[in-house]
Amino acid sequence: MRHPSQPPEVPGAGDDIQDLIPVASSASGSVAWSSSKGGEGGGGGGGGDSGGSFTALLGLPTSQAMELLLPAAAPTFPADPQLVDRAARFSAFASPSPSSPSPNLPPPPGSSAAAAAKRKVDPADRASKGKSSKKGKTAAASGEDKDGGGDGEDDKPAYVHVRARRGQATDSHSLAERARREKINARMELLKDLVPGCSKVSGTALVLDEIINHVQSLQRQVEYLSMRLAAVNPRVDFGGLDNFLTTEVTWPDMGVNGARHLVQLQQHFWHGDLAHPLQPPSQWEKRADPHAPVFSNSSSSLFGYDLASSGAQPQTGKLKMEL
Amino acid sequence: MRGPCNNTMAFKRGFLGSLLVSLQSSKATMSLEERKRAIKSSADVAMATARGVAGARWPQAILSSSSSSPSKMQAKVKRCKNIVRRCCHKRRRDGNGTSFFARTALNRSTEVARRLVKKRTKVLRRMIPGGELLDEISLLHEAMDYVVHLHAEVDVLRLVSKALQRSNASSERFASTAQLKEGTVQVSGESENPC
Repeated sequence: MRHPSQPPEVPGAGDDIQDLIPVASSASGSVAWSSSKGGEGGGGGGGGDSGGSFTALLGLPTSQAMELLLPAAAPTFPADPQLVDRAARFSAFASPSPSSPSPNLPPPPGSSAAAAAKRKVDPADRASKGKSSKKGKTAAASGEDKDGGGDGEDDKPAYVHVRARRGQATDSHSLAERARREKINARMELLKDLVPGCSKVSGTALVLDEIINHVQSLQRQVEYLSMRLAAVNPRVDFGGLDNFLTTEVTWPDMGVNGARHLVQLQQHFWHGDLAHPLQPPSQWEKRADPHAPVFSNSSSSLFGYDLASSGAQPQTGKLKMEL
Repeated sequence: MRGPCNNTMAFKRGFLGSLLVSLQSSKATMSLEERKRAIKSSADVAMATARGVAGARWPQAILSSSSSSPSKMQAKVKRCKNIVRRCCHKRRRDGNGTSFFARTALNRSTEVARRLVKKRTKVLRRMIPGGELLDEISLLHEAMDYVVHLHAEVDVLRLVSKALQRSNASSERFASTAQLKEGTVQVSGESENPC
């Protein structure tokens, strides 16, 4: 993760990441000038903590995802640790990397006071920065007041500060639009990574097209698989499958450990089955459906297929011997 | 590509648990269509509950749409949804009508591009549960979240159906041996207890 080693050149850096924080939690229509600070804690913290934040699911390293979210411009990256922390929370990396942002976090009032102090320093500095960043995109819309005035607004946390690039209109509408567009582009980048085959396509409409196709295909797959399950369903008893299937889900990830675990479970099942060998035959007779196998059979067969044929044969031998 | 992540596994396990519960409670008397619909809806609900209502909107949308309610409540709920939808449409139309870029768009190409994008966001809104009420940015956020969880759901469903198919196949093999065993049990029973 990027270390906040660079001196915080740009004033008011702490506030500007707020406009990247998902406004979904606040659900407000207007983007740029809405008070996003309130939404930040709820949206970011909530998204990070409960299992299944999407960027954590992506498994992307923190820095890579943050690069996607905060386009380019490493040198002008406002290295406020508070900013870094908020960015990390927005990308919902709270669960895999809770430790890395937190030690960097200075007390918020302290940093905002420092930022406010620096804001008053250099209007000339700001002008020069505006010129130098003409070609490069400034990361995270670093804090710059719209018309170069209005120091009084700086301390209000409700406003989002966007840098006015040279040669671009500086009134509030265009800045709001630009902030919004940057947000949208950031998320489109993430979506491009999610959806396979989207990296070559450029342009919002085509990427959206691909995304729609992908979501439709996923939904159709779910329907198809549920139909298969429905077809299989009437003949199988689900009683004993719980433990087995949970181990099976971890099986692709666990490798050798999974095999051992599976063997242990299998032995446990076998001992449980052999404890009452006479019950299965009565169940078979009571069952109206002649094709329904008893759960002991199904569990043994499930274990059998996983440990290749060598597993299946000794079990059938055992069963025959017992009966 | 993507390394195994703890959150994915937790979600998959939760999803699998809920799915199995709902599968066990399915009755044997339903037709294929009903069963498929029941499985699909239970999978959706399972996905929504496994995800938790915390970081996204779509789980809540799924749960609210699938929760059973008496007919009066359902009518009211539908009316509320229509009202909200109409409000959102109006708000969006008004906002877009007076947008800065609508006034200054000189290129035909940008207008065309914007129209295409709007069409597609409409389609995306329909596909993602709960997407009708969201603005573009949160819509994209929701879409990302939803896609990831759909991936996980498809994986789990595939595993389950594979396992069941194999169990069926091998249990059919065992069925023939089971009949043999049945025969041997009866024979041994008769031999043990001569009548």
